[in-house]
Amino acid sequence: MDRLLEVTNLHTSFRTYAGVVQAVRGVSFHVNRGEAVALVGESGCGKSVTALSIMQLVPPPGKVTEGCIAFDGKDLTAMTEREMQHVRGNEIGMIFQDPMTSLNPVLSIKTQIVESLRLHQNLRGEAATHRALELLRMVGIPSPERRLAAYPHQFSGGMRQRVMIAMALACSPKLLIADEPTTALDVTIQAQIIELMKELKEKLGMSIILITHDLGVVAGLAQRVVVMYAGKVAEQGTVDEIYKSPQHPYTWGLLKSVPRLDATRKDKLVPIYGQPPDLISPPQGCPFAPRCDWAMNICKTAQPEFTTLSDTHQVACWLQHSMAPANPRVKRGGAA
Amino acid sequence: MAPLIEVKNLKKYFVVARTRLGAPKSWLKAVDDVSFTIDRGETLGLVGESGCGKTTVGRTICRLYEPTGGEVLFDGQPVFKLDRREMLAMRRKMQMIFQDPYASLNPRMTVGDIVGEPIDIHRLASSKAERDEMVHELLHTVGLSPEHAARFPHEFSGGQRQRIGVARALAVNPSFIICDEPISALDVSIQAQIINMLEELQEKRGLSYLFIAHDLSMVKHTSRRVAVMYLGKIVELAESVELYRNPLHPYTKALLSAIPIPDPDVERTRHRIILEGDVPSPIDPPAGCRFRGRCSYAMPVCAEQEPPMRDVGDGHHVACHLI
Repeated sequence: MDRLLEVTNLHTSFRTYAGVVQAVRGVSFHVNRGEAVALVGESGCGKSVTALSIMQLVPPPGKVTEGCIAFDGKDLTAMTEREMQHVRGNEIGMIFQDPMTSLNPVLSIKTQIVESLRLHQNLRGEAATHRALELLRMVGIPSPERRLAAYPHQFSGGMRQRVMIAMALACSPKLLIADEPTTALDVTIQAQIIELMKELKEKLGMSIILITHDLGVVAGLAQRVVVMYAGKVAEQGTVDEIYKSPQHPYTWGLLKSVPRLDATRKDKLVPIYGQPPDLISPPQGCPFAPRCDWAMNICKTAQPEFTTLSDTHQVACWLQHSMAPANPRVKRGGAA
Repeated sequence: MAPLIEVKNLKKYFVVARTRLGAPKSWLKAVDDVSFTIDRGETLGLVGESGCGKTTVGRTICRLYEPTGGEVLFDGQPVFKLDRREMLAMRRKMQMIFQDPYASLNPRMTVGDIVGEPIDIHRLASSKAERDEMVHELLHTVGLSPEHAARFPHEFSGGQRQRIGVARALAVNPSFIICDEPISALDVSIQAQIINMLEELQEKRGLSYLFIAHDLSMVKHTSRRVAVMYLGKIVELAESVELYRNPLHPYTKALLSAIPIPDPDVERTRHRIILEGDVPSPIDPPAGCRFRGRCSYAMPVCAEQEPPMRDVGDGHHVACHLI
């Protein structure tokens, strides 16, 4: 399949007084055209920093220190700020978790949408207004003619997120990065936004990177899943591979620690004990080893390599090694 | 056996505007005529979207807000009629765990003082040594160690802070704890730790919980019965398995179908009821049934009459004209 985005060995660090925080430590994944890929993990695992690195928007003191981000045949890490400004908005759109803080409260949404149309598509006056209306209609804002001149505070949370999506789609980008787009919203509104994103993906044929910690949202929207832990990719595969035959103990933990609404009997939740490691001095071995029930001696001393299980399914775990003791499949119970 | 908590026609209105003479002009009816009971050792789940009044219910029960109307009986004792001194004694029996573990702990107090404060207020320890012993015991109960007592809240992660909040609630040995979204600020792997701890404590100490949350799958897991709130009212109350298997109110149906399930096969085949629009403002709620504006089954009668709460058998209650 045709690759739109390929991230190879990405490293992003933040130089702080306490030391260098290695937020992203060698992340590689790709996004095909027209595909939705989910980056899943807990807070601090580096999923948002990965997205910001792609956009070249890592706030100082953060810096992309290594790696290559190939987007549509161009290397984004080698671009100048001017060239990047053309890519942002025009080719890659982004929406953020909290729509209230990412919209300017003192400008009407018309001003904010028209601004990006003017900058990127050179649309002015009538034409820009017309396009803005079209966008609001597309994201399902009722009576857009009346709402266009309104200010962000006059919209509800769900409607604001729709405005954000309209702005991100203003220039028909090839890739939409959605950073926790529904975390701040209620479940019924979340369902509306997820349906909208699905529908727009089909209609516009764009690719989506969905960043979330909610495995339920992922199952409904994405085709492939990248599970991140402590700045590294732990496992990646298609949704079916990740949910039906997960291979990394961290993925098992994620799936078993949330109760399922359709569960018929009550099982005790299986938490993952302990805390994620400190990324100022990340552990020498597998970062998940201290919290892993199946950790072996080697896990504490050496980083696991990726094992390829199928064309799409890769996992970084020593349990996959041919010398590892019998796979503890019996104990884990998978996604059930 | 009589229930531990009986909430009858609870009302809490907030004044949002006043006339020039200071008389209330318009009200926000956060909680409008809510009734339920909680048995000893039981967990009652209270779910609803933001702004539906679920937190206000919790806070009004323990009189962090003064009620506008209604009655709460704790073990037969009317909570709203107690004077200051009696209320202090009552607070030994009911405690609260808050949503945000970052905002609910005083950053300038050590953990030992945070957990020890209720012991001091209620004079539960006769000496400093006994107090410290009790604090250490409490920290141990929630999975922290005694040397944590000298540290400050900022040295702890979100999950550990929530443990401190639980230890503080347990300090007075209550029989009822209001858990106001205790896990929504935590990561998924940490959520399960806190939930398991709350369940173990319930088994060991026979605690009753009012578990307030917006995450219906977690509420279904923790609670024996679940009440669904919409715009200040309970629209449906049933045993959690029954509520999931046989939801009757159109809002409950929509709420259940909106919750994503971590299984791609289920998600592909699922029929989803997407609610149109947003929750209306509780300042001027629609007359009749409050849900009718978003309900696809709304009938003329829904605009005229407020649907009464009806028992449809086996403790399943629902307020809808369709039933």
